[in-house]
Amino acid sequence: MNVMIDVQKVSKNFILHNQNGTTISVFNNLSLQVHAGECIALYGQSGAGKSTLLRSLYANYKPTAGAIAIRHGENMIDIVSAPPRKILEVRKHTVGYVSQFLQVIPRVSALNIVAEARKELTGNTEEALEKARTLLHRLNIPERLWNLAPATFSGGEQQRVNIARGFAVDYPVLLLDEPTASLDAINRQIVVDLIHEAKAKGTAVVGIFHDDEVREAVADRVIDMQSMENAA
Amino acid sequence: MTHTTIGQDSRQGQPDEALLEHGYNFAFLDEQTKRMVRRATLKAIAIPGYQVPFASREMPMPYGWGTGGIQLTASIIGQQDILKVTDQGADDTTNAVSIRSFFQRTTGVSTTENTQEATLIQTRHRIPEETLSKDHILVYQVPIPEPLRWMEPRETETRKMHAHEEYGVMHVKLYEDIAHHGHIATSFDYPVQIADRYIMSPSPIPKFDNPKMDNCPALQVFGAGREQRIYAIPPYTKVHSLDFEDHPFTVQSWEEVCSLCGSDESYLDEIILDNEGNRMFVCSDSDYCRKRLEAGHTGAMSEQQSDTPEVNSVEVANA
Amino acid sequence: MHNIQDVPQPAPADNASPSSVTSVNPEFGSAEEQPLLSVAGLSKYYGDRAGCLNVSFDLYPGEIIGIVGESGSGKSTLLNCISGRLSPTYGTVTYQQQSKERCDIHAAPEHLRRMLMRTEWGYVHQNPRDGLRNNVSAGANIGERLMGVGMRHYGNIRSKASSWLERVEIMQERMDDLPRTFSGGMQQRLQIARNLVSNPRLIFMDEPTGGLDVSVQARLLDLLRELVADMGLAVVIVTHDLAVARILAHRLMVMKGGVVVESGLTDQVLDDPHHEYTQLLVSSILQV
Repeated sequence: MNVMIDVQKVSKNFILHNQNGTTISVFNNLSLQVHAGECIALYGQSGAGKSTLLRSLYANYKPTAGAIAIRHGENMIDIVSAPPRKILEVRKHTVGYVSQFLQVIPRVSALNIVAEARKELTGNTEEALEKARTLLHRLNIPERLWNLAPATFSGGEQQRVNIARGFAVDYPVLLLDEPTASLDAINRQIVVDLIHEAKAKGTAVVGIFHDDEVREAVADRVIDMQSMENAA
Repeated sequence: MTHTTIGQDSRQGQPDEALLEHGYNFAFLDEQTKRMVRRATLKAIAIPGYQVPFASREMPMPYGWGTGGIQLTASIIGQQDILKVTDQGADDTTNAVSIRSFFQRTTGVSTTENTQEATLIQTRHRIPEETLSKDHILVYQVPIPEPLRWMEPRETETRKMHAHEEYGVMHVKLYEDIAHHGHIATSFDYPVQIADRYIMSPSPIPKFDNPKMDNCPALQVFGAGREQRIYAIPPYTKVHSLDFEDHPFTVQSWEEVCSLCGSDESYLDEIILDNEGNRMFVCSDSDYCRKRLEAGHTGAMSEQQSDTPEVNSVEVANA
Repeated sequence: MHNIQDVPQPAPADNASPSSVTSVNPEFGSAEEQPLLSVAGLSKYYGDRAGCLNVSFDLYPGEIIGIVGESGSGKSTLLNCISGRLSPTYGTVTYQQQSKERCDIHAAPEHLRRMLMRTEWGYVHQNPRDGLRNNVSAGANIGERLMGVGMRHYGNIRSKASSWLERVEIMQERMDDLPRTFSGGMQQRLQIARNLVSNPRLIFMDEPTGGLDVSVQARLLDLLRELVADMGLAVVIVTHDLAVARILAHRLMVMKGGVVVESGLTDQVLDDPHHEYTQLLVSSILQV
């Protein structure tokens, strides 16, 4: 199987310059491989570094040491050292990220937020909007909300818009940060289905799932962040 | 040489020598100053439409009375010249009379009101109706020489705009005219481009006169005393009045003809006759109008006039 | 003469050193693209004091770079040097013209620089009055660049101005009104239209949302985001507002005391700031 993510001896420290230079070491020498069609669940208590690792995989955080290679087309790109332009290209084509909270941009409607990344990738606005409608419909966002900016939506609605956004493009790598946190049972199941479908298409998924049921339903492997730390 | 002048000014009939004031240099300015002005003028002729700075002198009359034109005339005029001075087409307004008298008294040259007889014509706000020849030099009095001034107040910037031929803003001005009036409403001082290069202010002549500048056999020189600029259009130079493809340049036209001479080709002044709102239209070029009358042309009101038409009496309305 | 050796050379905590893994991928194929703008070793001294010091970066077509930092950090000096409005003491700014010809902006003849400024470039001032021609109508403001490049058909100029007014959400019946009768937000949008009408490739923006109310800012930001993406514009935007930077910029340079202390991907710089000053900046944002 294709290795999609290759984490090589990655360490991450935060140095808080404005708090007397306090250094917080989150993880050390962490290595991990994720294959196509595989779903990895990151596990561990709060502060164990699950989110930090996930964000590092998206190049949102920059590891202190080590390399994170992502399969981008035919190549493995080290997103720790790649220039911003390259990272943006990798994000556009290869890596999707569903955060816990939706970043709301003033005046942009839910439908456009969901369609944006696909539109940018394919250049086909109508097709992207169609895909967005399908996803919003599937995630039970009432149609009357589609053309509104999600700033006023409930937490659960915002989260579902966010999920639709992440699944609008068939990314080869998908990173999910507690995607089901504020969802009811029905919508949780829909997300589980979406993850299964993505895996079937060969997407490598890395996620943080606080919900045991969901984690057991989707994860092929569970990585315990504490044991990773100890292993290092 | 002998030369007869026509007109009301009684002094003009007298020998010129009698008027000559002694104690002044020929044409008032000293020879060094005249040389300086001539050098600037030659440069201006060499770069058609380009404003050449010159060290404008104090003249014995206020700015706005044509001190730029007077310095040019003073530098160009020679003993043999025959001078015509015209103000808005008329030879007998205060300004024209004063300037003519000034040169009579400082040079002793002959003067005339007849466009064809003149070799040197100083003008304010008009170009004579009669076709000028290569034997004429036309000197314009200019109040504001910078055509870009209305759009760009900084002199440093307008100079660069001329240098780099950045003339888009001139069309912005015409655009505004059309946007607000439906047509290009600028009717005086209508901007022209000289020899496909410099954009130039033709001085506040009516745009009716603009076509006369194009390919004109006479040398045209422009002097702005207060602004200290001289510029020129050499004989037979292309002068293009700016416009848009869908709003081409046009000149004023009148439904009326001249009430005195009946001309339908000249630039007409509208004259209010009384408090009842009665009005008449007459040629702004008094010399042209008189010649037509002498040749037997008549207009609607010409019968009421004496043999010599009193064009003068109505010139007040021109100001 | 300044001795450059006397000045402590900064070692910017660059979040993005060139990759060793990067390779050309024909499928995505942007790796071979030439930078639109290359800034190399740019320094500007005011007497002995450096306004900006040893700044280098490349800007690619369609890329938006944000310059952030507090007042006096040198970001405006840098913008002025990059855009050719101010001569740097050291360094070069190279621009690749539409014709593919590369020119050193500060060594180029003035007429070329001025020509670029009103055709291939745009400059959006913080105060729209500085960027608008205030004594002519909105339509004329937009039409100026078109007339500047020789467009001489009134009807075409007008219809182009009209469609741009629509694009920047100004009612078409305001076309013949003077800019001073417009609100601040409208003036700013008009300034943007006036710049974009010539289909530029590179826009410089100096605090474009600076003087506006928050709600008006949001509208302008959204509009800018759309236009920039639609037209594939490269943008250098100076702002002290990190929220504006996050929404618009692909990557950031953080300036302090004339020096770029940190640079990299926008969300990386803001979410995982490494430099002391960036951390202070980010933590100083008031949470609503």
